[in-house]
Amino acid sequence: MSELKVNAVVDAAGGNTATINGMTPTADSLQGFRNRIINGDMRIDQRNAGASVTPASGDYTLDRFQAFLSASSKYSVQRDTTAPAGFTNSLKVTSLAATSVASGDYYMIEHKIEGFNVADLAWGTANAKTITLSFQVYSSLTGTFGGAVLNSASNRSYPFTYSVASANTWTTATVTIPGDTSGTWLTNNGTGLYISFSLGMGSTYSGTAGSWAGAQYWSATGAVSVVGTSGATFYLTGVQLEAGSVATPFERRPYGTELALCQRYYQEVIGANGGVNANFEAGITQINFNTQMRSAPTMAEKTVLAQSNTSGVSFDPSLTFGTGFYVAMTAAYWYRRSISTASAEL
Amino acid sequence: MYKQVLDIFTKQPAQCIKRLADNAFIPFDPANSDFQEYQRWLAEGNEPLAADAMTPQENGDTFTLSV
Repeated sequence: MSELKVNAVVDAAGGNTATINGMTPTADSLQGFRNRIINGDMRIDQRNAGASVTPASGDYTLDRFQAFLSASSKYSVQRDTTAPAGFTNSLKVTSLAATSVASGDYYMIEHKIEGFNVADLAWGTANAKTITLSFQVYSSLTGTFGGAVLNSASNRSYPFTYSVASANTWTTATVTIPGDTSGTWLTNNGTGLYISFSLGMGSTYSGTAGSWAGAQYWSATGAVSVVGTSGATFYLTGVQLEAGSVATPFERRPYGTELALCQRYYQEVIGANGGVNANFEAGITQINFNTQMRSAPTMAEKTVLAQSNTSGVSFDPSLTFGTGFYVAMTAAYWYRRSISTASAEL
Repeated sequence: MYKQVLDIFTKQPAQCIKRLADNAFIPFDPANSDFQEYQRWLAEGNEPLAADAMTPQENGDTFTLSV
C-alpha cells in the first residue's frame, strides 16, 4: 500500500478532465441534481402511458418533451422500451411520410428548462458558465444530426451537431456549449432555455453549428431530416444537461422524485362531489394538487369515472396549489367523480 | 375559440377563460402558456364569446325536490 500526497490533480493540459476510476470529479459534476433535464430517461408518460400519439404542434408527448411540427401528421411519438444498457425507456419518433422540408418548415422534439433551474449558469452575463449536453440516440438513419439551444425570446441560439455512424445502434452524443454572455436569459418561472432535437429543419431556422447567433436557429445547417424518410425511426434517451465541460454519467433519480418534478408542469388529479340539495347551490369543492405547480394551471376534465344527474364541471384555476372544482347538477340527487388535468407547462 | 366564464359566487366575469376546443379553463396568469396564447389571439383582434347566462341551478335558485 502506498500513499500519494499532492496538492492538485489536473489533466495533461492543466484542465479539469482528469478521470479517477472512470469518473471526472469537478465542482459541477459532484453536485446532486446536476442534470437540469427532467424525465431525461423517458420513464414518465403521464398523458399517454406508452401509447403512440400523432401530436399536433405544441403538444407535449412524454413528460417535459414537446413536439413541434409545421405540418400535421408527419411523425408519431411513443414511449418505447427500446433502450441502451442501464435504461428502460426511450422517446421514439417514427416518420409517417417522406416529407420535403421547405425553408420555413420545422420538425423537432423540444425540451424547455425553467429559468429557476438554470439561473446559476449566469447566461447573459460575463460570468456565463459552460454547459454540456449528453444523450443517447438510435436511428434507422445515419449521418450528422442537429439541434440547438435557444433563449426564451428565440433571438439567441447555438446550433449543434452530433454524428450517428451506425444505423440502429445506440450512440452517445456529447455537446459542450460555451455560456452565452449576450442576450436575455430568464431566471424565473418562465422558460430559461430551449433545447431542440431536430427531425427536419428548413434553412430559415438552420444555422452554423458551434457558435452563438443572434437568430432563431433550431438546428444546424445540413443536418439529417428524419421526416424526409417514410418509416424512419429516431430514439432518444439519457438526456442530461449539466454545468461544466464534462459529460458525467447519467444522474439516476428515484422514480417518485422524477414524477414529482414532472408534476410541477403537468399532473392528473381526481375530483369528487355529490349530495342532496333541497335548496340548490352549485356543487362546490376543491382539489389539492400533488405538487405545487409552476404557474396557475389550465384545468380540464379528462375522464368521468362515475356520475349521476350532473351536466359538467368548471374550475377556478387561479392558484398554483389547488383549484376550485364545481359540478353543475340537473336533479336533487347527484354525484360526479372524475379525473382532470392540470397543466402549467412552459 | 374562447368563451368568458362567470364566477360561480359573484356572478361576475371570472379570472379565467374557457377554451372551447377542449373545455379547458385557463387562468389569467401571465406565466401560464395557454393564457399567453390567449393574449396573442386577442392581439390579433379576436374576441371571446360572451358567457352563458347561468342556469337556475348555477344561479343559486331554489331547486325543488321531487320526493
